[in-house]
Amino acid sequence: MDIMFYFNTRNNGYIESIGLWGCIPGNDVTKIKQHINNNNVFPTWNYCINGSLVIKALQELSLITLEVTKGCNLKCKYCIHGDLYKCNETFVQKQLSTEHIISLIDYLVDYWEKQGSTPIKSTNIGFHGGEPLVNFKLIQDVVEYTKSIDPSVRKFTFSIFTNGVLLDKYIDYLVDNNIHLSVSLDGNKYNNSYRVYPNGIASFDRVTQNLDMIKEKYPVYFNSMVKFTSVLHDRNNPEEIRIFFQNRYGKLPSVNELESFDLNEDKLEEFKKMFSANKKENFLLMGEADDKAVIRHIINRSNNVFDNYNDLLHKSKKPVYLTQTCQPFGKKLFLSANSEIAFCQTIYKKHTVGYVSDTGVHLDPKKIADDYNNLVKKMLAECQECYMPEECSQCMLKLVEEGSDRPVCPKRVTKEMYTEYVSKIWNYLEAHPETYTHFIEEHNPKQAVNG
Amino acid sequence: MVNCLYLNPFVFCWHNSEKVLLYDSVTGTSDKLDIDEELSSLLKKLDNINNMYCVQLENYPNLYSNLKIFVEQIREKGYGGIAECEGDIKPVVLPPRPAILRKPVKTTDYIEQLNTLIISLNGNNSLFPHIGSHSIINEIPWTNLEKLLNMIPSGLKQLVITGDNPLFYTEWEKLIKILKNTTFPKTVLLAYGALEYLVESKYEIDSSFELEFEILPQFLGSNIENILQNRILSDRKIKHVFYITSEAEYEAVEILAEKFALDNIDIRPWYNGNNLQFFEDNVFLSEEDLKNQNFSRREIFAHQILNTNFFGKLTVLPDGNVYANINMKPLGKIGDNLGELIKKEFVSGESWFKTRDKLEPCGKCLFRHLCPSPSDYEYQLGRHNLCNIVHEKS
Repeated sequence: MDIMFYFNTRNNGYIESIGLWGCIPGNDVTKIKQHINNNNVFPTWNYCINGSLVIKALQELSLITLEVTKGCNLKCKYCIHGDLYKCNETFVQKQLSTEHIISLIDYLVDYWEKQGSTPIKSTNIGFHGGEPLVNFKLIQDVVEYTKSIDPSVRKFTFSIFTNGVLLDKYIDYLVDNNIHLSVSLDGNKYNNSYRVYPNGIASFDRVTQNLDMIKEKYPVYFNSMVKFTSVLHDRNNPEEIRIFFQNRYGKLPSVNELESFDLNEDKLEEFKKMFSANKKENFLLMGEADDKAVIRHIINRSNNVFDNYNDLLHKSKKPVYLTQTCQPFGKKLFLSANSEIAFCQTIYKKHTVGYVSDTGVHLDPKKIADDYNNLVKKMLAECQECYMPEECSQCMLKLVEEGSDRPVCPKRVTKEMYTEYVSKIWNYLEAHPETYTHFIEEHNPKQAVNG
Repeated sequence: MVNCLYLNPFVFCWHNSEKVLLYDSVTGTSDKLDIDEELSSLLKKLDNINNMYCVQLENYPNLYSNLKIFVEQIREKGYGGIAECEGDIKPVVLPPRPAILRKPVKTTDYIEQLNTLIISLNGNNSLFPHIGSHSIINEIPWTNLEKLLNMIPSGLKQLVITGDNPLFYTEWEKLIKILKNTTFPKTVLLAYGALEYLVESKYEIDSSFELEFEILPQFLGSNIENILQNRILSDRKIKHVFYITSEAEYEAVEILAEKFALDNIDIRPWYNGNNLQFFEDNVFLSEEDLKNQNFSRREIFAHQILNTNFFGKLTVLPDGNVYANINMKPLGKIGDNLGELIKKEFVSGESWFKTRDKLEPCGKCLFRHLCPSPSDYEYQLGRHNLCNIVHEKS
């Protein structure tokens, strides 16, 4: 039974399907509008921030990501620093300055001290690359330096994102200092065959040899501190990845798609071949509704789902920020090997917000907020025409080109797409009503304590 | 072709053995109807979440008695409708059942549940109505207080600093200095007599704090007029909270508010043991009171799941005891891990999740999910139902 009719959700709009709003006798649209107004069905747009929000984010910063070096001992085919992407930095060996990192940490400590005694937080320092272990001295220097900082001001934890080739050399120090490891490995030997040395030889044997050694020598550390990440491409698939990791290490990796941002146009065909074979299913455009999509819709649109108990006490829904772009420093602060500051490593080549030099840290929270607001204003027209802005997964910083007044969002949902989407959702629910009942049972608020 | 009766997803349907209450959370419209056996059987089907608020209606439109009235009301008032269905597939409606995505698991998750922290720094609290029955002549040691402040989640909605006279707290200046740099909203709650001390620079409270003054009934006489007359802090927005025991006192407060142009006042009833009639006349709810309000789906869910007066709130008294509700036993001491204390309230507490359906006679009342959550007044008056509703038999 298809959706009966609907209107734009954004411009004084409403939708009516037999399930979502019920069949209103006489198609009484006034009542639907009233329902929408009374229940805050659609989000309150909040797309302006200010300098104090940026400062608050710095005070509560939970992650600093350092591009320790641009250099790498591998030359993986799909690397974001490689020739598939516009900013090809394959042969750049630039290393981050330890003094600049220390300068940044001192700058942040100043914010944290001003914050007063509440609450004590912990901040994770993530060492990325290139391959961070090729600049191990820097990692060691930073870890040792943080030991001089009063833990009542901030505690530190550490993570290294590595290809695993050099782990045998440095594992003792990593274990001694409780440093989390995230190892990139795409599955079995064939699955992993895009991960090669510059001479084309596969890295699989060396990496798994190192991991086997850690598993045997430091089993507790391996169980609790070692994670894996895999990239999906045309030489692997989720099932093969799962089987490999489950059997060999008793763990499951986090699986990511290839980065499709800022591609080198000359290499588009090559990229598509690697990418499309295993693209995560996007049912909105190409597949069918499933439990996951229906539950997402229930969460966003049913008005029955609350994030936490305290949300039941709030009169209005939390504001929704335009696009899925992170708030400035809301998730992390990224420092590139060139000492540029950005919100994350994915977008720093296009969008930096400050830098560290020998004279100190150069960040202007007010300017960061103003620039961010200007970008949001550019996105607004595009987002207002989207029928599913609440489920946006797009970072606007990847879209807004210098000089362009109106970016084009590849993920904008049109009226036709939304019609198809809602119809599929409700058709699925009619055939599988247990999707809703199981979800409600699983998240029953009366059972306040899990387990 | 079969006829199916469905309710809209914003309509609540509560019933006992004699009556059914339909409540439209969009418009606030409600209807209470009689039940017979046939209707009772249909209501049980509607209750079953697996039916997704849509059940087959046999013999429609040839219905009789109460079932006929029920269906007519549903159609006429827009509580739902009739859908003609073919085959096994019938329309689905998402019945209004609440779900919580993130229930606390780790200790840090429990700390995040805290939304209000009330800290009474010193004294016997005789001027603080909510703590009236506790007799304490103490002060919270600074080391314990500092430890507590370090555990406060950044998402706290309100921190209330109070006491017999918090300005006299030994480490007052240190406390204010620390709190000034915090981002959550803060209130200093004082008995009206403390007003005169605020002019002294050492007791200065900057504008990042809200100021609230509580005036108990016994101080409603001329003395309060003198204080209001000499309003020392005229440049500060101050909330005046008046506690009253009678209608005469209500009128007195209204006169005061007008005379001194008090634009931010709150008047709260105060039970003195002898003014039950005042409560019955002015506080107790009637069926009409509830019908005249429009409760949203969220508000109804909140009443069903938790106690909206107590949830997320902890009170610390000068002796260091920490309460989810000061009418109950303490959860622990100020030095204890805040997350563990909150977990204790989640697992075995009797306040944060004290809902009307767990109480007698409210548990059987058709209006129990519209009625406000149990509050301190229920404890003071020694009864659960502060209402004039005649309860139907269950």
